[in-house]
Amino acid sequence: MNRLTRRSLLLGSAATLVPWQLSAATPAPGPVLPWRNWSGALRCQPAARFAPDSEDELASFLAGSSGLLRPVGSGHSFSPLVPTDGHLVVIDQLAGMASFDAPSGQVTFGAGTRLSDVGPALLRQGRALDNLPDIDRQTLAGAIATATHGTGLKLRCLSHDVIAMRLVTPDGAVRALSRDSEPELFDAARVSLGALGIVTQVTLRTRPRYRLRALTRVATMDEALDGFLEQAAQHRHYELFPFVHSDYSMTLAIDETDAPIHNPPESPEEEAAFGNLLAALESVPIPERKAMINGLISQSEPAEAVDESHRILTNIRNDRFNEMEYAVELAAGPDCVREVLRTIEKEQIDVGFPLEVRTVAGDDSWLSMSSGSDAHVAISIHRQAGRDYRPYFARIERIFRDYGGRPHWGKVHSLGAKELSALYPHFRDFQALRAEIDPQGRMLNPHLRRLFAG
Amino acid sequence: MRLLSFDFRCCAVGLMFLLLAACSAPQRSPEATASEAPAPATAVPSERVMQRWSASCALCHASGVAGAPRVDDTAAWQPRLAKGRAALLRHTVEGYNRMPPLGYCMSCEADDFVSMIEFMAGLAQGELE
Repeated sequence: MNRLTRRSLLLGSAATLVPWQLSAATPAPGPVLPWRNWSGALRCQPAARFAPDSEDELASFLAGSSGLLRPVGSGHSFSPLVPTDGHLVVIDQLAGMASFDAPSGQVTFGAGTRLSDVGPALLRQGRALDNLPDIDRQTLAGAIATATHGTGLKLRCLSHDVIAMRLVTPDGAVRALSRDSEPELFDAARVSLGALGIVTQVTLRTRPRYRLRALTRVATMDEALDGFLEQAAQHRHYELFPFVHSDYSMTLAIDETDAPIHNPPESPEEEAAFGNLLAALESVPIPERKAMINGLISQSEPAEAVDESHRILTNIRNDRFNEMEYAVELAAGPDCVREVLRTIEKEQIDVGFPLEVRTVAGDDSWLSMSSGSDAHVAISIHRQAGRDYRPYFARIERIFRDYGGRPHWGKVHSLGAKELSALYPHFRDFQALRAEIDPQGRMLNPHLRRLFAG
Repeated sequence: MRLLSFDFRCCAVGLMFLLLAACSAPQRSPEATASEAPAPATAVPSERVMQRWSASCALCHASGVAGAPRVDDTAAWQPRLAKGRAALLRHTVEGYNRMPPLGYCMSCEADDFVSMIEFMAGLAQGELE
């Protein structure tokens, strides 16, 4: 998320948040450490960790073992894709650029490569990805498995940029997948939630490097939502951060430019500003909050940054949170946002985190939240880590469901196989293929069993 | 929108400190493990530890982003070290302030984290108590 100016956001005294944990304290560290996700809300005690140094080592392990296992990337998912009491398979040693083909611009990375390392590596080749999500700590495998996306009406999720991948299935077989080689498995594996095996390599399409100019400003809520679809069509990337309990939204428009780089690093105070602001806001009684937020936000100044694409599109989230995100039909997006905001205000839901509203173009993977020919509006809600997000998310999820929304696979949702099969034309195809690839259900934890075997 | 331009800066920082440490403390045989006691202190973390550190902890501790104590800031590490090995390890596993649980190292076990903390804080390996 971009920042407002330091002057407008930096508040003097932040309230102390009351720690709130979803589950019991971590057991004392033993021979195998417990696992937690990025937000800290999900945890498990795996039987063991297995971090192969090579695809061969991974294939041998899978062929020679029979227990439950789950892959983990960087632990950024908020849905319980990872927790297991079996083996946790960590792919962070399968990282780095494996090959680059200059004539085609196609690049192959180890699946454990973090997105934060992809941009600099491509830049050295004069290349870049077409789009990126705003958090760049994920591994390629994790981001692709969950159809992670950025924003852009004509830009698709990261899974769409995959043109080939190598998958080690639970029986230890290595499958080379592409449009020409096992195309059905390729379409399924591009967004697989780690249910089909372990991805070891990913080949991506790239484009020549490019520079972007990001302009952040504040608009009234009506201006932002009334003009959202028009603005999204006019800019390469466009998104909103509507402030809850307020009449304002931050807008972020990003377009290509040849302007000189101007992207000064944040100061430590600026890094801490957003968290301080949230804490301060939530210390104020809800009825008094609107005037405070309106007064604060309306005084903020536009901010501009110019840099290489990967340095504009991604950012570091200093404050941990939990998140729910649903994709709804494009035309319905602004109305859905309005209803979410109205509900938060009417029901006095005690939340300070802004919404996030983006667009994603349709793609042809089976299970992307934007699969199909049409673009979607992706709407996110957040709550700070350590605070109980469940009542808030459950309430807003009802609205997303009313709008026929599809959940982001890596974010909190409550849907099971029955509801999901009505949302995705290829859902039953995926279920059948999964059962064929993993008949013993080695890759299923309780969450995935509910999604695919329920 | 901000990105830590990771590039190879963290590797350079790590290498510099490894070299400095290697010149200042006795070596332990590569076969030695943390469970073997007593063992002489060694300055240099293992290749396994450094691989994992550069792919995870270095994301923040190389530059000091998100309030992380920098690998070269021994003064910043002193109040952390005063909390003791158990507290530091617990904070690493559970997450602490803006540091996520496990510090992004999903393949690390306790001995790896202790070794990384010792490395970042300028301690010899096995020195953290």
